[in-house]
Amino acid sequence: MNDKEFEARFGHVMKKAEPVPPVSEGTRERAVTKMVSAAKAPARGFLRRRLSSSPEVLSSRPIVSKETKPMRRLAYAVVFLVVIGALVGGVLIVPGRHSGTNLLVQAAYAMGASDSLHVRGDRNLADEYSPWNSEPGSYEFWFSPEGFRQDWYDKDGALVRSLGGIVATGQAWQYFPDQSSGKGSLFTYRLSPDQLTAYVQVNRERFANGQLRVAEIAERGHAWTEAAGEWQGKPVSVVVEELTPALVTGEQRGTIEYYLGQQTGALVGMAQYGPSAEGRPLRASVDLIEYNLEIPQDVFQSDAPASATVRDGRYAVRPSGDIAFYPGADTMTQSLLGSALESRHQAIMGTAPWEEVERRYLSVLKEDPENDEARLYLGRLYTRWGLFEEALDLLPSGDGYWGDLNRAFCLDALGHRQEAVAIYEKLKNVGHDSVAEWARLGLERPTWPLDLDIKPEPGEFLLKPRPEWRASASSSSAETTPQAAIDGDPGARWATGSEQAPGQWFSIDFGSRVRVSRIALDHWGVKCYDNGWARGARALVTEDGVTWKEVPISQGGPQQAAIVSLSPPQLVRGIRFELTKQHSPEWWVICELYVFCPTG
Amino acid sequence: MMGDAEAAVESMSDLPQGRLVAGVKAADPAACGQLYDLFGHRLHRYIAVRLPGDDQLAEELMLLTLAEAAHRIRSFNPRKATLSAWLYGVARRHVQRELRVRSRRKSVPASAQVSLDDMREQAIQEDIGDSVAARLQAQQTVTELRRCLSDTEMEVLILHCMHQLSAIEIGKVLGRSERAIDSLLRRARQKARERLAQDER
Repeated sequence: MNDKEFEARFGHVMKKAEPVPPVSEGTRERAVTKMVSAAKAPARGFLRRRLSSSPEVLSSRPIVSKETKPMRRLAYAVVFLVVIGALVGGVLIVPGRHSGTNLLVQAAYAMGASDSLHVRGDRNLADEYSPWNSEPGSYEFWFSPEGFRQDWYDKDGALVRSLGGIVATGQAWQYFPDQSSGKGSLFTYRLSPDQLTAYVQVNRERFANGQLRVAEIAERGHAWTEAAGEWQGKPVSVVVEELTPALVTGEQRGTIEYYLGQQTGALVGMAQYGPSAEGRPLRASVDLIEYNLEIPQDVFQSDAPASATVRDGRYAVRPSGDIAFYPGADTMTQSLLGSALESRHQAIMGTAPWEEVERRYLSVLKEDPENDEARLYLGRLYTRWGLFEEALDLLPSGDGYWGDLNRAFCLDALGHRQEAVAIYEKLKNVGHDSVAEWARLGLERPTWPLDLDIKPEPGEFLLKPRPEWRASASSSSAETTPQAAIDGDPGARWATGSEQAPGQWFSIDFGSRVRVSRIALDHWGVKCYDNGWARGARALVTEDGVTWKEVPISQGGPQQAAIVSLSPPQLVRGIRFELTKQHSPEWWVICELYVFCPTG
Repeated sequence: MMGDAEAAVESMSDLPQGRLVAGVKAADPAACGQLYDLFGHRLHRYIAVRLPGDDQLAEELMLLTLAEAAHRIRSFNPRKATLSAWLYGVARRHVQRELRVRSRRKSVPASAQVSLDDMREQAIQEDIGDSVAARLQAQQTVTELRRCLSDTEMEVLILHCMHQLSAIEIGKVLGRSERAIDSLLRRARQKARERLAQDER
C-alpha cells in the first residue's frame, strides 16, 4: 500500500466507522447569526478593547509593534507585570484561597456582577436546610441572572464550602477546602441552564430583602433527608431530596454525577432526579464518603434493590414540607428509607411542629386504620402530650419495645401503677438501651416523658441543643453541671447545691444568634424534682453578647415550667436568669432548658 | 457533499483571504455565510470524528468554533498560519476541553451512547447498501487503530488524510514544528498501515 492508497483506505475506514450525519436544518442561519453577533461583541480585555476602538492600529501589526514608543512599551510591561503579580498573589499568597478553583468559582458571579444580589450574614440562618449541621460562622452569597456563588465560612473566617454555577453552560460545582493541606475537593455538576436559572431565581426571591425569608422556604415545601449508611461494608451517605417543581421541571429525568476533580478525578456519587410515580419532583443520590471507592453502576438502577443499610439516619423536614414516605419513589429510595424510619421519626419530633406531625399520622390512619407505624408514632406523640387514653387505644401491645414502654407510661400516669411496673420489669433488660433505661427509670418512680406544659405552640418548633451552646452558673451541686441543663436529656439536671438566694444566676451562650420565640425552664424532668422551681426570677437576653435587656418571665410552679416569651421572636445570643427571692430549703433546679424557634 | 465543499475551498484558495477576514471582522453576514460554507462542514466532520457518538454536541461545538473565530478574527494573522489551520486550532481547543471533561467521567455519558437500534436506523437513512455489520467492522478497526496509535498520531492522521491539511498547517493546529509533524505522520502511517494490512489478510 503506498501513501496515497493508505490515506484513501484510512479515510474510508474512518468515514465508515464514524459516519457524520448532515448538520441539522437551519444550522447555517444559526451559525451566521452567531458569528455576526460574536464579531460585533466587544473584544475581551482592556488592551483589545482599546485597540479595537481604533481599527487602523489593528490593521496588520502586532499589539506591541516595533514602532511603539518606548514609553508606551514600558507602560504595557508595567500593566502586564501588575496583572500577573495580582493573579499569582491572588492564587498563591492570599490565605484561604485554594489553588485555581477559586478563580473558577469567582467567574460565576463576576459575570453577572452588575446585577448581582449580594447577601451576607450569620451562618445559622443560611443553613436552614441542615439545622443539625450549622456550626457558628458566616456566609456570603451572590446571585445574578448569569450565575451564582455561595460561600460559607467558619467562625474564624476560613472558607469551608463554596458552591457556584454558571447558567449559560449549565456547570455547577461545590468546593470543600481542606484547611490542613491547602487543597480541597471539587465536585462538578452538569445541570440544565433552566435548573440553574430556577435555582438563582428562587434564591433571589428568598434573599430579596437582603435577609433569608424563612417563611417562604416553608411555603416552597422543600424537604430532604440525609443519612449515613453502609454499602458493601463501606460508608456512604444517602440524600433524598424533594425539590420544588421549579427546580426539576416537567418530565425531565436525569442523573447528576459527582466527581472529585482535584485529587483523583474519581466518581464519588450519583444522583437521580425526576418526577416520582406520583409526579412529585424528587432527587435521590448516593454520595461516597470514601472518595476512592468505586461502585458499580447497577446500584443506581431503580430496579436493583439497594443493599445499603442506613444507620444513624438524620432527617429534617420543613414545617409545611410533606413528610410522606415517598411512596412513589423508586425502589432504591424506598429501601434506603425503610430502615431509617425510626431515626427519621425522632428527627421529625424534634424539628416539625407536633401538631403537623399529628395531622400527618392521622391522615395516614384515615386511609389505613391498621397502619402499625402510624399507630405507634401517634400513640407515642399522644403519650408525650398527656393524652393517655387516646394513646392506649393506639399503641400496639406486646411489641416488647417502644409500644409497650409507652403503654406503661400511660398506665402509670392513669394510676395503674402495678400494670405499668409489670411492663417495666419486662423491658428493663431489652437490647435497646433507651427503652431499657426508661423502663428502669419507670421502676424507680412513676414516670412520663415530659412536663405536660412544655411542647411547641403552633408556629414554632423545638430547637435541639447544639454542641456549641455553653451553660454557666453561679454555683452547682456536687453531682451536677450547668451543661446538663442543655444536653437534651431531661433526666440529667443542674442544681445550685444551696438554697435559693437572690443573685444566684444561670446563663446560656448560644455561640451565635438564634431566633427565639420561647424558652422554657423545666424543673420537673423525668425524675420529677417537684420543688426545685425558682420562687422568683428575672430573665435577661442579649443579642450582641454585650448589652442585656430584661424580658418577662412567668412564675414556675409545682408542675409548671417558667417560660420566657419573646413576642415578636428575637435574635438572641445569650440568656441569663437571676434569682430575686430567698427560699429555703429548696435548691434551684433546671432539668432541661427548651428553646423554641418560630417556623416562619 | 464533502467533495463539493472541498472543491469550493480549492476554488476559493486563489481569492485573497484578506477580503473574507475583513468581511467577518466587519460582521458582514455575507462574509460569515461564506466562512460557514467554506469551513462549517469540515469543522463539523473533524469534531464529530474526534468526539464520536454525540452528533448534537459536534454541531454545537462547530457553531461555538465559528462564533469564537468571528469574535477573535482580529487575532488571526495570515503571516503565521492559514485560515484553515487557525480554525482547526480553535476547534481543537473545544474538542480538547470536552475530552478533558469526559476523561473525568467514569463512563461514557448517556448522551454520547448510541444504541444499536439507532445505529441501524442511521445507516438505513444514509445508505441502504451500508450494512450495520460493515459499520461495526469499521468501528472495530478504528478501535484497534486507536489502541495502537497515540492520541496525537491519530489526530495527525485524521487532519492529514481526512481534512487534507499539510504538515505545516497541522503543526500550527497542534502547536508543533513541521519537522515534528512530518516524523509523527511517518510513524503513524507506518503503524496504521500494518494494522490495516492485518485486517485485509
